[in-house]
Amino acid sequence: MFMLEGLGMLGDGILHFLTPLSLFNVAWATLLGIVIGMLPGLTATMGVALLVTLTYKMPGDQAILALICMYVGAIYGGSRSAILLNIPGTPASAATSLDGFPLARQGKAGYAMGLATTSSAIGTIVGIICLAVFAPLLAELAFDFGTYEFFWLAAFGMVISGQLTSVNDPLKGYIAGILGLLVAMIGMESLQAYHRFTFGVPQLSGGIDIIPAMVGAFGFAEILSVMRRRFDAKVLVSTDRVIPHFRDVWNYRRTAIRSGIIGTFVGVIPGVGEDIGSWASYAAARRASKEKEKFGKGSYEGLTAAETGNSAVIPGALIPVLTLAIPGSTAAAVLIAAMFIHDIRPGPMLMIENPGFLYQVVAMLLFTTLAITIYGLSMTKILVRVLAIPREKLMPVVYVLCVVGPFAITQRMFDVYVMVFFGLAGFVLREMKYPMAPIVLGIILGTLLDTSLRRGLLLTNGDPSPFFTRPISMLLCGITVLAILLSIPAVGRLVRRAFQAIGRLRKSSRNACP
Amino acid sequence: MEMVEDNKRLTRADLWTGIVFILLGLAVVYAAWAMPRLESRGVHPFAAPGVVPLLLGGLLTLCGSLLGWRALRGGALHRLPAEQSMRYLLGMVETRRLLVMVALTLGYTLILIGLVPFWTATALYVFVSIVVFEHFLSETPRPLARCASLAALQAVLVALVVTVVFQAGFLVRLP
Repeated sequence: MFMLEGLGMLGDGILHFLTPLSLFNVAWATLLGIVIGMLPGLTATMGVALLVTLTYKMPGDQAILALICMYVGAIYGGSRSAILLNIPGTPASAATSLDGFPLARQGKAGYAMGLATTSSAIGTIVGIICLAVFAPLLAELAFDFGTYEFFWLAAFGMVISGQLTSVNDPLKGYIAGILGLLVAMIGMESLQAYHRFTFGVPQLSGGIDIIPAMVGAFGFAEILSVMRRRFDAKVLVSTDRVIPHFRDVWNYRRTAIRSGIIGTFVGVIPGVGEDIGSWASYAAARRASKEKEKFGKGSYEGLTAAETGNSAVIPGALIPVLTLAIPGSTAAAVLIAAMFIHDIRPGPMLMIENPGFLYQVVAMLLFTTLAITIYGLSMTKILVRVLAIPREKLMPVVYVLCVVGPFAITQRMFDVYVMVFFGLAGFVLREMKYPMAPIVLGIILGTLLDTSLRRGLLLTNGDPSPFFTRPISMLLCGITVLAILLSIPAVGRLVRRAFQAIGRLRKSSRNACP
Repeated sequence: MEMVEDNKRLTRADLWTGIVFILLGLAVVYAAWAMPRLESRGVHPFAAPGVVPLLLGGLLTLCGSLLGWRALRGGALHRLPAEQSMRYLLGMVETRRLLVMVALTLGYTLILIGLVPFWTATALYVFVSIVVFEHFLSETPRPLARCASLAALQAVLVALVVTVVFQAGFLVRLP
């Protein structure tokens, strides 16, 4: 019954966007996304953030449609430059270049791009299925979440994002997260209407808007990184066949589905995005592969895993967006901000207030997947010409958009200054190897964390016990504490040693009683 | 080898940023402590507006201390080799390019916009940016006349299109 209702709403969602205007929006937004993803220095998050500023006058459903098309297009587009330049167009394609670039040097650039296209499409489809099946279930579960659970959810999101986006140095991930949360503390808080850290500046009382901050941290900061480099990269040419052989797609079906599921799962984890999804899928594929030695030297399987993994993250990242209003990736954080601009309130109430919207998002993803497949298989050779645009000509124009975009939404110069501040700060932090995602997540989750904690304590008149005794709270608290403990090197070593000892004990006991 | 040297510079930077985060954390703790407790309104002290900032400030101080301590143990105070020194760093082509880009973007955003109409500011910024990076800072400089004329054309086009799209299309009153 539940499934049938879902299918009906999915049909409505697809029909909703089967209009010339919607299809036109899918066509241009996906194409623009691919181009932005291809150009090194222009990332999906930046593209989505800039497009929010260009679509805020459109009706809500069409604006979100354009943004999702931009998101999917950009993550997919990044594979082009990863293959042809050995520079990932977006961080999501870093794993793609490991096998994509060697393939291009073997003269198989076109084929690699074709395989990347089908892999991306498969990845998105696996993610879409998970979104359509699990989001309603999670939304149902989220109804039992009270203020205590939301506090732990936000805390868990911050910890896990800090850890996974900076695997070699979780301390920097945590610091980034705390900085983001502190930014969210600026402005009037909602419980007692007290102005925190506003220093008498009236523009700060509304808090720091996420869009200018994102345009700065992902736009301006990237422009500085790109322009600093002394040399521009050389593009390899592709003259070979693009459309993949069916047997290559079929041979790696297991890898594709496994990578799709890993990608979706990584997407669901708050603030952990496409790059991690892609690396995780790549690592899992190499471990399971019969042709391990080919990885890194031009393996079709490696390319399939990386591209399926990063594309599957997108629908995965939308699951917590729609059900809990918690972003699964940085671009998803921008999407949340955009939804609020268009009066769509993501979170547990969405399924009641606007039950069709989830399936509209599924339909949007289906349309854009179709679009990347068509573009990718038919226009690859034309599209790669974009890579010939010199950065000296492109970046000043992008900067102009970074200035005018944030200004357009609120029409105040203050937001432009916010963009500049976050751009410079983001650049410096990135140079010192701080991940950006926890900062973004902090800005989005700061208010939730703050109000949930204090509202909970207000309700109990200062008694913190419900935070630890309610079943879901207890579980979330346990996972959060465990995640923090495991990130401390000494504890990690201790756990590893304990596991090894248990392993040895088992072995010896098995030997003792055959 | 390069990796190790890069790490040394990063370790030194970690020490400084650690100190900055400790100071920032303490400043936040102080500001949070000074926030009103609103007891007269019957608010429990644990639910006062300063609670979460206080926690965050404390955590930032803790993390900053850990970062600084780790950097000290990693040899942050050891002398950097000559090719890692600040003077060498400032003399690098990459640094020069970066500083020029920052100067151009800030000059455009903080000075030009507001001083002259938006489209003039934009055209000027785009033009100067392209000429500087294609001719003066390029490894393979393009002839100035050709580069400047193409840049001028692009600058005017970009300024006009952006102004028209935002002003007529989105009804934004540009600065």
